[in-house]
Amino acid sequence: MNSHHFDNEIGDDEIRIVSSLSHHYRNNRSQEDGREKDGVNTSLLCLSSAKDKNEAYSKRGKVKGLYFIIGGIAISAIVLLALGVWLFLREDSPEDMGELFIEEVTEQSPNDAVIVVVSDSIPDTQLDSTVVEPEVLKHFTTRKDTLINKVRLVILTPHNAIPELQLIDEFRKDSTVVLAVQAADIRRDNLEIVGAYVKKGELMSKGESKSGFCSIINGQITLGAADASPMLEQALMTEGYFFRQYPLVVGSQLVENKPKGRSIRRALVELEGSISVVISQHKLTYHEFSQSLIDLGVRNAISLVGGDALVAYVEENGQKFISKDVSNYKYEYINYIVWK
Amino acid sequence: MGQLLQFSTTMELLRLPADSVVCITADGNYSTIMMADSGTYVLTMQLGHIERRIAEILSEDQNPFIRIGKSLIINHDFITSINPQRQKLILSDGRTFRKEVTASKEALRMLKEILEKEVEI
Repeated sequence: MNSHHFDNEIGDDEIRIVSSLSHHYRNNRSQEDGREKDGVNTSLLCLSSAKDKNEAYSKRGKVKGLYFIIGGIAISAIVLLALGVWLFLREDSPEDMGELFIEEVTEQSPNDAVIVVVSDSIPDTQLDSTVVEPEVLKHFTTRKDTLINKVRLVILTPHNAIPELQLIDEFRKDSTVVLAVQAADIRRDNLEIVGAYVKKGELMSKGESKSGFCSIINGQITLGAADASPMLEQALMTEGYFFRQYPLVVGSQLVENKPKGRSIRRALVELEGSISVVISQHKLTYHEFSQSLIDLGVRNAISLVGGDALVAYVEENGQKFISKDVSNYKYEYINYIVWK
Repeated sequence: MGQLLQFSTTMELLRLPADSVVCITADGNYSTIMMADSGTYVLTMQLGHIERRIAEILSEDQNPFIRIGKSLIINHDFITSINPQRQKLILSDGRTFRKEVTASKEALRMLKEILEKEVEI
């Protein structure tokens, strides 16, 4: 059997009966320019089949085509104009133009851009800082600042905490979270999650625009890069979690990504056998950030939402840091990977 | 129960009654199977592979599936409405569920012609 004809030999304007549906279809196949496939009786009904009809449509099609061309040129001109204005107004493009993600990158000085949180360098007024009773805490986050080839990085590592994905509403109500960072990107046009996203076994979004993935199965995080991963199915079957993002490092090898802009970068990384979140304190390209992670000793890493997206964590002494107030956010699909 | 469609991947085995499968949509390397009870199953399998499996499993006179374009397979028995102009195809059992899908105008026009001829005979 010629196996690949099912994959390739059909266009959007064509239909075919998967197998011979009935005698009726086979009897009428002479009218339909059917193509017999070896092994499986598959008739392909092509556009060219309705020859007379096509002639009738051709004149109408030409006029339509003309309208489409004129419309296309007009739309392109408007888009180019808008793009030009946008580029003019924006000095530092943070991301690629292909997918418009909400990263909420604002113009900031390099020091302000260190979202998180560094307790000494950011005035107290910028931080919602509260003290939680240390006796109650069994899980917490440690923070480590480091410098790798002149790149300042913050490493946040959760301890004794279980990871999961939460939407913004759930996150606002949950007081047990000890580390939270924004996970999957949100499309600016429809405000829905980019790429496949599974929450407690429920598929909330589909697609594979990015090949990097993070799955959480029975509390265990797996990072990787694959167009089709069995971890998605496993997350669906085990009430687990799954989301997609740009892959940065796979097997200690750098992965190139299309977006070339600079932004504050964040990554979910596998470092020294445990899972951590790494945050750059400078605006970097994906390439520069990936290289820094490799220099740091990261084995696998995927990107997280960058820019000034929320980061929150609770330290061992109960000190709680949150980089911004999200109480007024109305986007329901803003989502976080949290440890609690 | 009619014939069963069996799909096996590294993680999962699915056995679905063919007459309860409403449609199968493709999304890159994933395919989503929608059932008449409104349940859905996601498979890490391309639509072409699923189409081949169906052709292998079902006998000719029991195969109600039609491939429409690159990203859709429908069950002929659930077609309720075809509107090529609006590129709209409604699949329903007339009682419990109603699923609206889109396809190209030309494909829907051909599908409509086929079903018209089926009724005439």
